[in-house]
Order: sequence, then structure tokens, then C-alpha cells
Amino acid sequence: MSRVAACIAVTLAIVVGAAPPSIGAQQRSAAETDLVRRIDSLLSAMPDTPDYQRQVFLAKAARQEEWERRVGTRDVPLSKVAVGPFSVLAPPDQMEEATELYRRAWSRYASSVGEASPLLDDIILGFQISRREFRIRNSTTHQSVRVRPWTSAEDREIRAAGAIAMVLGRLMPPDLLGWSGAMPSLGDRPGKRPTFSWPAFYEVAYRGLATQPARAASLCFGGDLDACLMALGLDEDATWEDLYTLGEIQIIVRGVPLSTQVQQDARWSCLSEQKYDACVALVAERPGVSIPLKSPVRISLLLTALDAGGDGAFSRLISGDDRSISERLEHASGMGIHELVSAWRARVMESRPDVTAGLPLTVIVSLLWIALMSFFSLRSTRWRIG
Amino acid sequence: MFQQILFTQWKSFRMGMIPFVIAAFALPLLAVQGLGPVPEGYEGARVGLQYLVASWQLWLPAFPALAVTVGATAALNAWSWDHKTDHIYALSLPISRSRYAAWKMGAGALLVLVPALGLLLGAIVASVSIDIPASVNAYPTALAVRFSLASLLAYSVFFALAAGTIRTTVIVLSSFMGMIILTAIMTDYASAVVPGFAFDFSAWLVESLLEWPGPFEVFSGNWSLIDV
Repeated sequence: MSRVAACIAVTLAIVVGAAPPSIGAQQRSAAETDLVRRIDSLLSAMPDTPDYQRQVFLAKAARQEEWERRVGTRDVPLSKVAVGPFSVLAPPDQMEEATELYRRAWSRYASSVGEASPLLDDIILGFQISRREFRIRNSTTHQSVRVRPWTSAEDREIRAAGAIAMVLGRLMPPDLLGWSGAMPSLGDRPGKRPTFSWPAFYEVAYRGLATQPARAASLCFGGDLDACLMALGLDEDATWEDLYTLGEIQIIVRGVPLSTQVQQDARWSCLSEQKYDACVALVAERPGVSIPLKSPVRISLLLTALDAGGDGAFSRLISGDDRSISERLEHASGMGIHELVSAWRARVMESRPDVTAGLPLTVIVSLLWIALMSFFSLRSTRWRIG
Repeated sequence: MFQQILFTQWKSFRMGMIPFVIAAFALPLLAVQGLGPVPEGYEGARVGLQYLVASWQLWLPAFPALAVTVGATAALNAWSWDHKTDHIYALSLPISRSRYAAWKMGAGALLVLVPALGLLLGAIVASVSIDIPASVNAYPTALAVRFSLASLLAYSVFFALAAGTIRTTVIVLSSFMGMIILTAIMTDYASAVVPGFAFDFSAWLVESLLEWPGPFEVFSGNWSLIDV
């Protein structure tokens, strides 16, 4: 009996002894959750400034890092060094390459970012090369480059530049980021694969301007700068008729998924009865439709503004709270919006892709291969091998 | 002698070539079907362009596929009589085998260009039959040049393979395939176990074959009839 009582006592002691930390952790967690909820409710009243965006961004990362520290997921030895305004996190044996990569990438942005650099002080950029599993968690850095050993040096450069572009994009005011879609990466063009890098943007912009089925884009291609402003979403007074012809808006309508009878009726009116208003009713709420020229084209305008603005252009772009996108672009570039759009259009028109550029080389190489195959054919003998 | 060989091949291949010529002429027209001229005063050229691009994407794989088919058929046709008669015909001629093979190859290459000419005509007719916006251009010649090169390349590869016996061809092809598979397995294994060694052989092979200056780069290029 005494043995049974001893067993029960030991069991109870274990249960009671183990319980308090767990319960305590739950209580702390609940209290913390409550505090976070209260702070979040207060944050919504704060102005939507770049500094506010940065604070939210840092807070999220800190919260995630804290969670990972508690559950013990940081299991890889890492080094941290300063590169420009950033901290770079990487395994010790890869730190030299990481530092050099980010140093070169930052040099592309440094002058443009200018006075906004202090906003990047607490940003951590990661870098890791791994054949299989990447052990640096995404959440322990604000942006990471994770590559395979066989990833080319060129691709690594591009991705490091892209990582910094992502970080800078998060500093952009929401309306500007929503308009452009992203902060352009200033990495060199990798050549074979199309990427959103500096020279490629203007070629993409040319294609958009030349082929986008939108009246405003056609007129812009022809040299009408007011139409360019409309096509780029920078003219708030533009009407739907300014942007699209009936045939053009019908293309968009054909791609709209229908979920209600009202929408089906509107589609019928638009496509069969040729009613423009019915078309507008269907597409008005679709994201991106009100700006005919798509994100890569708009990014090319942003690039022109940053290019024209020179030192501190990015800093001027994101400064100020109540500026419209046109005003931000003017402020960044130091030019009037018409002058800026004119410079942008000129650069886009110069960037027409040469569709047949590679054909002569293709002809030469193909003929050489054909000659080689012919040589093999002539050398073959029915009698020697067969 | 060349004329005789050309005539022999023409005689054996002309009936088989008719569907290829028709297909090559019709392909560009099929890709732009239903996209006639835009009526006067109707701002619809860019609307038509969107449908054209979509339609062209649909038909795009047919162009290189047709080029390979034309080349392969012409090459196999060139050697078919020799295989049937166990290469006795070549022995009966007063010329060396290499010269015989060279003339045979030249004659076949000329015949391969006939469907390419059909494609050029079809592409020109297709280009003028539709109304395209001023911001884009038609490239029928570039398309025809690409088709010709692809056909000739396929022709030369199959001609080289068919020049020997079936046994030789099987040995050559099997050896190549075996080497590729073996190398892929070995490099993958070595990448996994040897520190500091990393090589993706399959990706390298595809890139080497399809990108400049690989032999099949012509197949991975721009096959558009209408572009900026």
C-alpha cells in the first residue's frame, strides 16, 4: 500500500512540477497576444509614412525571430558583418563572397538612395550557398539570397541586386508601390534569361507600348504625351473612353470571370449589344485595368525618374506624405511630369528590340553544324563499319 | 551525274513532298485565319494583334515540327534505295563513295528548300492578308530562313545517321544515349558526395544543345511572323 502511495505521490509530483512552466508560458503568450492586439489597433491610426512602413516591417521580423528563438529553429552558426547600411548574415565560410556580392549590389543603389540610407540601418540581408537544404530561415533576415553551388556568378549578382531592390520596395509608400508593382532591380542583364533588370525594362516597355490594346497606349506610341500620362495612370481626369476603344475593352471583358446573373447580363450587353457602359461596369473593379500600361512599363518610368534625379533621387521619391505619384516622380527626377514622360518615351522608343539581331549568327552556326554533319556523312562507308 | 541523282531523288520524293509543301504554305495562313483587314475607321488593329499573338502561340510548335519532319523524310528518302538494294547501286557508279554521298546530300538539300519556299510564300500571303498596327512589323523572310535552316539541320543529322547501315546507326545512337545517361548519373552522384563539386549535367546538356552556339539553337529562337 505504501508502495502504491509512493508511486502516486511521485506521479503527482512530476505532473505538478511540470505544469507550472507550461501554464506560465501560456499565460505569458496570452498576455503578449493581448498587448500585440492593442498595439496593432493603435498602429492603424498612425500615418502611412515610409518610416511607419519600416517600423511595421522591423516589428514583424523581430516577432518572427523571437518565436524561432523560443522554439529553437536557429541551428546554424552564422556570422554578421556590416555592408553599406545593412547587416549581412551568412555562414562563416561564405561570408567573404556574401560581403563582396552585397557590396557590389549596394554600389548600384547607394547614390540614388542617398539620405534615405539610415532607414536601412537595421535591415539584415542573408546569403547562403547550399546543395540541398537552406538552413538560414527566411524570417531571420529581411531578405535573403539562397543559391545552389552551381548557380552562376552572374545570377548571384542579379539576385543580390534584386534582394536590395526588394528591401527598398518595402520603404516605398503603399500607393507608389501599388502603382509601380516593385522597386526595379538594378542588376546587370544576365543575357540569356529575361529578367526585370535595368536595360530589359525599356525593351519590355517598348513591347508594351507597341502592342498593348489600349487607345491611350497607341496614341502614346504615336507621340501624344497626354495619352502617355493616361496610359501610365498619371492623369486622374482620364475617362474610360480615353483609355480603351470598345473593341479593346471587350477583350478585357472576355477574360472577366462571371459569378452573378447581373454580371452575365452586363457581359451580354457589352459583347452583343456593344454597350460601352456595360463593359465599364464589368471591368471597373478589376485590379490594374484602369492603367493600360502594365507594371514593367511603369517601372521603366520610375527608372527614368531615378536616373534623371541622380544623387538622392530615391530618397526624394519616398519623402513626403501627401504627394501624388506624379508629384513624387517630379520630386525625384527634378523635372516636370511632361518633361519626364517625354524623356521616358524617347528612351523607350530607342530601345526597340532588334527581332532579327541574332539571325545572322544563327545562320552561320547552323551552317557550320550542317557542314560537320555532312563531313560525317561523307566519311561513312557501308563496307567498313556495317 | 548530280543532275541524274537530283532527278532520281525528285522522282522518288515528289509525291511525298506535296503534303509538306501544302502544309508549309498553309501553316502561316492557318495561324492568322479569321483575322482579315480591319474595316475603315475602326480602331481595331491592336485588338486583332492580340488575337493574332494568341493564335500564333497555338500554332507555333507546328513550325519546327514540320521542319524536322521535312528534313528527316528527305534524308531517309535519299538513302532508301541504297538500303533496299544493299548499296550495290553506288558500287556500280564510276565515282568514289564520298563524292556520291556529297551529291546525294546536295540533291536532297535542294529538295528540302522547296517546302521552305512554300512557307515563305504562305508567310507573305498571311502578312498582307491581315491588318497589323503600325507599331509592329511582319517578318516572313526571317521566318522562312529559320524554317529552311531547321529543315536543313534536321536533314543533315538524319542524312548522317542514315548514311551507314541500320546496325551502325543503332550503335551510334545507343552509344550517345548511354553516354548521356551514364554521365548524368555519375555527375549527380559526384555532386552529392564530393565536397566542392557541383555540376548539373542535364541542364548543361540542354543549354549546350539549344542555346548559341549549340547545334539546335535555331529551334529555340524567335519563330514569330509578327513582332515589334
